[in-house]
Amino acid sequence: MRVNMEMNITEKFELSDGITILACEGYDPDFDVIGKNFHLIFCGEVRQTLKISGERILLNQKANLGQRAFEIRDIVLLSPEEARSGNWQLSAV
Amino acid sequence: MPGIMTRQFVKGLHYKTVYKILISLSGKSAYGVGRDHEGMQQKLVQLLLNKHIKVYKLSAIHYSKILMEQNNVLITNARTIDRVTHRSAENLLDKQLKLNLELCLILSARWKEKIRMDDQFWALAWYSRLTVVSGGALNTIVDSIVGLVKLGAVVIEGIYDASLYQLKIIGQLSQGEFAQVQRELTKLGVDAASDIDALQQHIKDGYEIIEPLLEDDKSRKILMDFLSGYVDSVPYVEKGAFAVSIPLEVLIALASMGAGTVVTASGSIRRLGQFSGHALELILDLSRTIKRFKQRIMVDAESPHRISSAIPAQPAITSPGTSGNMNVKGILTNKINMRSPTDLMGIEAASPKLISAISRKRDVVIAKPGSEELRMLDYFEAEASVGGINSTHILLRENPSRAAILEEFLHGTQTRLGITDRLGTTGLGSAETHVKDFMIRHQKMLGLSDEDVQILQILKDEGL
Repeated sequence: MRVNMEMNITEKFELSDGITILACEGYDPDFDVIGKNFHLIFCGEVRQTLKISGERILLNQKANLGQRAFEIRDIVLLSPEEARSGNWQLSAV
Repeated sequence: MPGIMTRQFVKGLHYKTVYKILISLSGKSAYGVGRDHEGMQQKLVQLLLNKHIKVYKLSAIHYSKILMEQNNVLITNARTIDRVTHRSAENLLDKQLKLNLELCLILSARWKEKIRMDDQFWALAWYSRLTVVSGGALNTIVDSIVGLVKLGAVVIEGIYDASLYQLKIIGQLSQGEFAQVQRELTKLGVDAASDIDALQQHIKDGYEIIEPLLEDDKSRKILMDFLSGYVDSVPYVEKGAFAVSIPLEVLIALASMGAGTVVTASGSIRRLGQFSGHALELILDLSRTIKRFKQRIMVDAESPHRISSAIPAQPAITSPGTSGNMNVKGILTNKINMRSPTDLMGIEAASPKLISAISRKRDVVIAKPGSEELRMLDYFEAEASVGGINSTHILLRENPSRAAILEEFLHGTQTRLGITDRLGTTGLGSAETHVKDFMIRHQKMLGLSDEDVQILQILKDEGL
């Protein structure tokens, strides 16, 4: 069965060890995203396919509680402004 | 075919002895040791129960491979040492292997005595055994100078898979006790200090010699294996309150040797604390070599990869935005979704030593102003974060709390042990609860304040 799992990107961080963190909301908490491939989509158009390699555990998180921080080891073709625009989604392949 | 491998000297027992026992167990008659099958079996069980030997189940290929492994400092034999010795007089591994061999010889001698004494002890009637133990329990300072044991030691504690160590000064010496210590040190061939201040300086100098070994992964492993093996080798009647520690006279002797006061330790000092004079010489030599390696590494800032391979224990504290030794690892996935959404932050600050100890096992990054790391922590208003392969990449704010770094460290251990997968990541009874429960129960060992424990308790009760 094809799973149609989508989530919205809200912010992007490029850590100094080369890993990109995408803050996302609107995800299905029951869907295990780790190790899965996702399309990077804007208005139904796919720019890139990415793999979520892990998730950051955030200790004593106080803000943006509905969001999760996913780790991506691929180069993410998305500018910080685009990430913050709220127009970009990750859709499970 | 599964094979069985033991160390060449496993906690003091020569590998040939183990081999003979195993041959006898298999019912074969190699080396003529297969006759007393039952006796040998009992002997093996006794050795296993006493933690005298460690047996690993391996494939036949692994068996020969591991025995020939030159980088495994716990598997030492003369042939391996010869091979690495030829390379260079400055060879770190060579010095580690030589030290390990010397320490194994010490344990080997101790085990002979332990077995003899234990055999005598267990042969006694039960009421006699009680008398012996109650007398023996008072004797908790075997092989150490009484006054110095009162003063302190280098105490080594294990927390999950990290070893924390510190120089603990727990008391003061009176003039009378100092004079006694002075006499005993002189008798042992150590240059005793002229006054208490000088003695304390000797202790500090000695600690500076032993510290590089404790900071280096392989060298620490050798020392830990020896010290815990030494505790195991204490005869039953003398066990008392033995702990894994290095007594102060060892530090004093090292300081004297480092200053050149003791010309040849192996000649003038025969035995000190758990160590032989030769072992102390080797420790001093190894310490100097590690220091030289570190100096070279500091100069050679352009080769970050050489840093981690030369001295694996080199603390991996890195600051984003600075050129340096960030450890980038391969791609693996993890399945973590743990959160602590609360404003309850840790109170007690983490000491540089704790951060350094955890850095030996994890990549610890302090988020500096202007870095993406700090921007991310600010965005989520989080105190710290952990991620990466098996949760080994810890991101901290400047001046992190002790509770924060310990919790992030322990999350990594949970992931590695499969606890996270087993318990899940959110809610009551999850890995979050598990780690906080562990921290509360081990408040003293982890050095957490009462306030930190109260916070942890609230977080735990809320399932956060």
